[in-house]
Amino acid sequence: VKPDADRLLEIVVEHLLLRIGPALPTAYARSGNLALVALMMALREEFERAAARRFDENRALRNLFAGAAPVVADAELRARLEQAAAGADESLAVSRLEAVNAALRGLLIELHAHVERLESDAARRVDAEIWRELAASTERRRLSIAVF
Amino acid sequence: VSGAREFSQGANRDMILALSAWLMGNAQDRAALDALGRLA
Repeated sequence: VKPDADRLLEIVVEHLLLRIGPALPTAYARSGNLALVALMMALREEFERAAARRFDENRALRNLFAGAAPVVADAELRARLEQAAAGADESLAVSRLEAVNAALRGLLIELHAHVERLESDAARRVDAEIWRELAASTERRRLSIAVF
Repeated sequence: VSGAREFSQGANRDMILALSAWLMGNAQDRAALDALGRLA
């Protein structure tokens, strides 16, 4: 649809800052308006990447599971990891990508708990890979207006 | 985290909860990773 969401949100921010804000009667109302401005700016950034970051993360998690499965001692968990690794995102709808992401991240927690109990060099490599992925996931979610 | 949950579930619709959740949620995860020496 045109105008696209990015342009629309840019105009909404301008409207809130230059038209609505100055017309508000109290400092409390004006500060609430500024919170909306910040949210619209964050929303604009998130809208642009919403599908891409979920798609990228789901692929990264599947790749991690594929590499980790041979290390896993629990046959039932290994089978679920192999099944997840063989999967693919069949829809790019954000809600569907998010649901798949939640399931994959749940499986990541199970994998992490499992490899932490294993004593082998291969398990330590998987553990390090999981920590790298957790750090990468925060990079994907990072907002430019956030403090850290 | 609790503010994000309350806003998401509709228990509290104050926009400041959404703002703090969006701005601080991921930063909190990053801080935890940093404290564990896993962020670099």
